Amino acid sequence: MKTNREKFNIIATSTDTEILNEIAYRKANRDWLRKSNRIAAKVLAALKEQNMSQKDLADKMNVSPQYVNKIVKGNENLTLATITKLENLLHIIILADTEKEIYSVSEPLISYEADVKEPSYITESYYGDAV
Amino acid sequence: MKDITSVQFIIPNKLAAFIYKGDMDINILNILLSTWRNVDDLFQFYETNKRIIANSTISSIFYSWENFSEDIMLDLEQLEDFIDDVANGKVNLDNAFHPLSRKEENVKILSLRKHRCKWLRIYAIRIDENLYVITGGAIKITQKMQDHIDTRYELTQLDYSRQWLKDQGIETDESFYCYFDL
Repeated sequence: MKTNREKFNIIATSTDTEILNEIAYRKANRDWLRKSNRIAAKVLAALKEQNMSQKDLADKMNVSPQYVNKIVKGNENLTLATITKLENLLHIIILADTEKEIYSVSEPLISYEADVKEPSYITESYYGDAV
Repeated sequence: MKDITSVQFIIPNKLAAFIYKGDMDINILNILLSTWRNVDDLFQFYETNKRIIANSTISSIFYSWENFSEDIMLDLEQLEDFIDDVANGKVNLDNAFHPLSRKEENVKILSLRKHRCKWLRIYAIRIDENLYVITGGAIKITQKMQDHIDTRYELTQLDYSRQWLKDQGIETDESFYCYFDL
């Protein structure tokens, strides 16, 4: 009598090699993929805020709507020229904002502020002398 | 609910996923990863569910779109690392997939399981020791699976898939489950 494992190995007839290859690629390229993801998130938020469609943006950028769709999927390795065009057309800052550290994203702002200590020249000697 | 057309291994003899009718021969794990990697799709999900997400019990902070998309990106990376670790033999799946039911105390055959990140869930059925088949997955934004249409759908798909496996001759030792996925 066959075990469940043996029965299952007969049912599962093929192997997907694409997933592990894609994961290896994404792990090797994680740094810029994160940036691409954040740019896409920012562009989508700007489009909604400015009541613009992806096609409107494509027309303004003089590119195909398919290319804009690739940008907002967040997996595209964008050139500096494209990033600058997005910044100018959507009036958003992209480059400075993509440098933020990951760990701070989900932290409540209040705890971050509470941890920030004012420099000693403000809290001690400076105010001390002034008062 | 989608009919099953076949089963495909992701990692032979360890992790498999169902292929459903209408999915062009692409297994459900591949579809889920592609969907969650698509920021445009994620934005539509956020817009549809932002009131629920903003009031999520996952954290006390207000979840803006930027917070949410960042979290999903990190969840995805965690999930990719997990699959990579399974492929490299660093993880025993019995320690990574947890019973869906709080009432399940002992290991059962064809146990319904979940692998959880912060928001993302992978749902699977345990076939044998360190051998699982993925039935689906979801972005879980409510406390109970029954409270959102997507996770409710996943429960139906889990039940259907489990019955399908039984119909293929995979044996089970019990037949009733209650779901309290927290």
